[in-house]
Amino acid sequence: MSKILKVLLIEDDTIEVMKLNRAISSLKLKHLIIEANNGEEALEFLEKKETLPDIILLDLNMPKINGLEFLAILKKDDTLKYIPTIILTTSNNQKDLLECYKIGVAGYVLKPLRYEDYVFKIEKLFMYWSMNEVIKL
Amino acid sequence: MSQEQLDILKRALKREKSARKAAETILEEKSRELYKTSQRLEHLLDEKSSQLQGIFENIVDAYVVMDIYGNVLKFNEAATKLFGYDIDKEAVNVVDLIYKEDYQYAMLSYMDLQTKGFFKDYEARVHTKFGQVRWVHINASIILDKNKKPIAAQGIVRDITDQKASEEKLIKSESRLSSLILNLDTGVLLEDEDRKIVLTNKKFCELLHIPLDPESLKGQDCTNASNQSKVLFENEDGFVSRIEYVLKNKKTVLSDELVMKNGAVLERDFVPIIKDDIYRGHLWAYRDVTLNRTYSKRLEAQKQKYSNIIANMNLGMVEVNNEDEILMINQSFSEMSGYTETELLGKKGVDVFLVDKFKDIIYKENSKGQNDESNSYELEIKTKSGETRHWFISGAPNYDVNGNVTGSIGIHLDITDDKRNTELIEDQKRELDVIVNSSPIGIVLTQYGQIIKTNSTFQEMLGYAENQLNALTIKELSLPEDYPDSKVFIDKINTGEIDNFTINKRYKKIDGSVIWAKTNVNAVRDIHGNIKYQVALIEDITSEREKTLIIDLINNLTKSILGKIDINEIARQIVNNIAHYLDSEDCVIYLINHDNETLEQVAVYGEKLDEDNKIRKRLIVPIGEGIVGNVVKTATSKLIKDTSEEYIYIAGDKRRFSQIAVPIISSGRVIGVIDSKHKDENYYTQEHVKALESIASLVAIKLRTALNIRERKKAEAKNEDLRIELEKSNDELQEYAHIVSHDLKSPLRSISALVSWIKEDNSGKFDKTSLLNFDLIGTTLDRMELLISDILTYSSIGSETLIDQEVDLNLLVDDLKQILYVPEHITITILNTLPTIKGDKTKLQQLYQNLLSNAIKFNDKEQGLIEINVEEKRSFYLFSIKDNGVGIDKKYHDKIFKIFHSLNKSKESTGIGLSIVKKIVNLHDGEIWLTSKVNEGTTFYFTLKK
Repeated sequence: MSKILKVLLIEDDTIEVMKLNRAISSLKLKHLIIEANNGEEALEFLEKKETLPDIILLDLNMPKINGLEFLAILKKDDTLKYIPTIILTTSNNQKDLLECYKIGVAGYVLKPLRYEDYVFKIEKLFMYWSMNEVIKL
Repeated sequence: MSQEQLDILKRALKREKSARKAAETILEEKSRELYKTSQRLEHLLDEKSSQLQGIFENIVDAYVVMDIYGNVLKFNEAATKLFGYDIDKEAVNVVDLIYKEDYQYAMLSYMDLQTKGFFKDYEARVHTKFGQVRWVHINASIILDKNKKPIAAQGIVRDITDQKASEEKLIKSESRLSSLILNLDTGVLLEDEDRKIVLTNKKFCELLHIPLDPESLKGQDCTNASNQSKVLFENEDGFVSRIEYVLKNKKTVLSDELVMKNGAVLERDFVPIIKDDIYRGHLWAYRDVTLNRTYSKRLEAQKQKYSNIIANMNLGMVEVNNEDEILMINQSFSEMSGYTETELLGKKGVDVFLVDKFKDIIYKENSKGQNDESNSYELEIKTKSGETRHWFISGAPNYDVNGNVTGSIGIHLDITDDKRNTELIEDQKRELDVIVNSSPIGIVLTQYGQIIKTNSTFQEMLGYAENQLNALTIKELSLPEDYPDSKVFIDKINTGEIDNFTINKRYKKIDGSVIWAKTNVNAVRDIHGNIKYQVALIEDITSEREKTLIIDLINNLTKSILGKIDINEIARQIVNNIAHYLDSEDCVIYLINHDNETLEQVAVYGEKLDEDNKIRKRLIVPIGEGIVGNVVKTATSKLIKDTSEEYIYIAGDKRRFSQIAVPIISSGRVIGVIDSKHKDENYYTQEHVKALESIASLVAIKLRTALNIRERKKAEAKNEDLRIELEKSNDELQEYAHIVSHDLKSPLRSISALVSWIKEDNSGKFDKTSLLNFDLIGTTLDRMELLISDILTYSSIGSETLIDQEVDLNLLVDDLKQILYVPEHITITILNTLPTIKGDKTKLQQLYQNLLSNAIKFNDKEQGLIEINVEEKRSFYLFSIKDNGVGIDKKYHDKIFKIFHSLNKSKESTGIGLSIVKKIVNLHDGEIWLTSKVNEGTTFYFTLKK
């Protein structure tokens, strides 16, 4: 059985947040989405270490701390580095891709142009991660 | 008197004494008998008296009877003879007979006679009648009467004068003998039969080094003496054994030679003393014969030496008489002349040896010889074999014992060979003189450095007259700088290590200029190896040396700058080589800096360099100023004999008096100057100018090139900076492109989502047109998305290339065929197998993808054919993609590769695809072009490097 995931979504674009929430609801998934508008906000949440997410969905193009910088900070933390982080971005820049895998990401998902395609990808993504064993901290 | 005679005398004396003693004893006994028995035998007295008288009268000694007053009563015959008195005729008193000086002694004896009745052994002198004094020996006794009253005295008187004399003689001769022996120059040692010393002398002690008085040696035992003395002799054991042998044999040995360790030579005689066949002892006599020995040895040696000399000199000796007849010749003369002595004896030398024309000479000379004159002359003679020889003859008169000239002795020396040699030497000397004087090489004869003789070549070489040179030394003609090199060799010649050497050195001409000469010095030694002369062969090599130096300079310089591109290094090599060639301690290369019209030192030599070989003070000279600046301005070389006369001279680190400066000209433009200065005036020559000009033109191109390289390097460095900057901005641009594309794409996604949500939320509320419009929004979004992606791709091509991957194009195209949507009616064929090349796989895929998708997209035929092909060229591959599509009008062939020049604005075409293709081909150093016919098809060609 698929489990319910605690998901930290780090995304500055409101519509993107809406897209994920709407996709989940339309897919009738029960996953808990924690929203962070930027890296600082996400770190603030994570530093509490009370309720750590099962996975993190991270947008690369963000103001202030960008995705790669946030990832680097995450991977330096002895606790947080174990949280699977999936990149959700429009950038198919090879450099970004390499850099992300180098620092350590659990997935790299391109945001498709069409919303239908997006819902399809999100469905598969959650299906996959809800079947994975995740570390409970 | 000899010992033997002495002995005889002694023996005779002894005999007589004993005979007399016997007689006296008898007499005494008889008289005492007589006295005692006189009374008893009174009657016998007369008888007896007469008997006695007879006895006394007949004894040989004088018998005297006197009364008590000394009046002689009776003389026997011997007494009468002794004293000369006839007592029958004249009265004699014994007192008259007593020698005056002996009177007292006589009286004492007379007293004895009276008191004792007798006296004995009275020896005193007496006077004879004839005035003679004689020595007498008297024994006397008293004659008593019957009443024991003395009535008379009787005595036997013996004439001992002769005995006394001979005794005296003996004493004298004995003392003479002993003093003679004592002082004899022969060491004498007389030993008795028990080897006790009887007698020895000073000389003996001296010879055998005995530090004692010879007298004190008397009685010493000599048994072991030889062992003590042997250390003095060379042959110690021989000395001892010889003595033992001689003593054992007891035979006279004369002249044993003994060599002492101190070099003295002794001769020893041994004489045994045998008396009455009994061995009584022996006499050793030692003589020092050292002088004799050495003298005779010396004499022998001298004799030997002179005879050797005469023999070795081959002097022929001839003795002639006054008639010139040969009396004697020696062996040498026989050898010289070829005649034997027999052949010549009695002949006249003149007739035998002389050719007629010389006879007069010999006659004249011979008469001189007889006139008491010594003479010497040379003659040409004929030997027995008919050979003509030259003899040197020296004659001297010969005298007999009375001093009369009996002839002459001639000494003959064959001087033919010497004469020949002398002539030969004379000839050779003349020839040599000719050679020396006409030799093209200068020849100098020196002694202790002083010039003794020179030939004309050497005189001309330096411009001196012969007599001027003879007053000079080689040192005065040389340069002090050359001494150290020469000295090394001169020292070796002086020690005899070498006999000659060759050196290149300089000589000062009379005008002060200098030439270089190859100098070959030979030592001429005497028989002891001492240097008598030095002969120097001197060859002017100034011009050759100049040429060689220039060639060397060019060679060395060319070698040293070969392959060098650094301007400073090249210039440094040039100054080093030139300074060496010029033998100067200063050389500089200036190059023109066109930015500020100045000359700048790029390389210096010598003192202008500091300890780290850096230029001490980099002098910058404005063009036109100073000698160097002037050379640039005029583009001509300058030779300055005396800088003090040049107002434009610029003193650098120190004042130097002559200068040479040559421009370096490249393509008609002066690019620099070679400059050298020398401390001496008048140092540089026109040859130097020529040489430096050659060097200047030789290095001009190299310097020009080096300058260009320096410029290019500067430009390259600048380009590199620009490139780095560009790369940086490219990267920034890249980043920017990504960000922009993200920022552009995101709204598209939002629009898509929002449109979807509107449609979803209002499902069934929109009419058909509205729904179609929604679809159009979707298509527009797609196109927008594609456009953004293409621009991003295009702008990304320049960066992040992994150009050296091995890419198998066959696999790549096969993969593409799977990815691309290929409609049913289109066939893609690969004609030749595609190669594996080096490149960026992603971009090469993009290249084929774009071209193939175009070929697919723009194919309007029922049977679409797409052919992929490759041709291998020498350094690249020529690829082609041919289709039978719509074709492209020729006028668009250039345009299609430009960005945003899409020929067909369609939803699938952004007009960027071919731009991307071209960019990828260019990135791989390739070309792209096409051939096409409208409606028939298009072939795209592109090349990729192997």
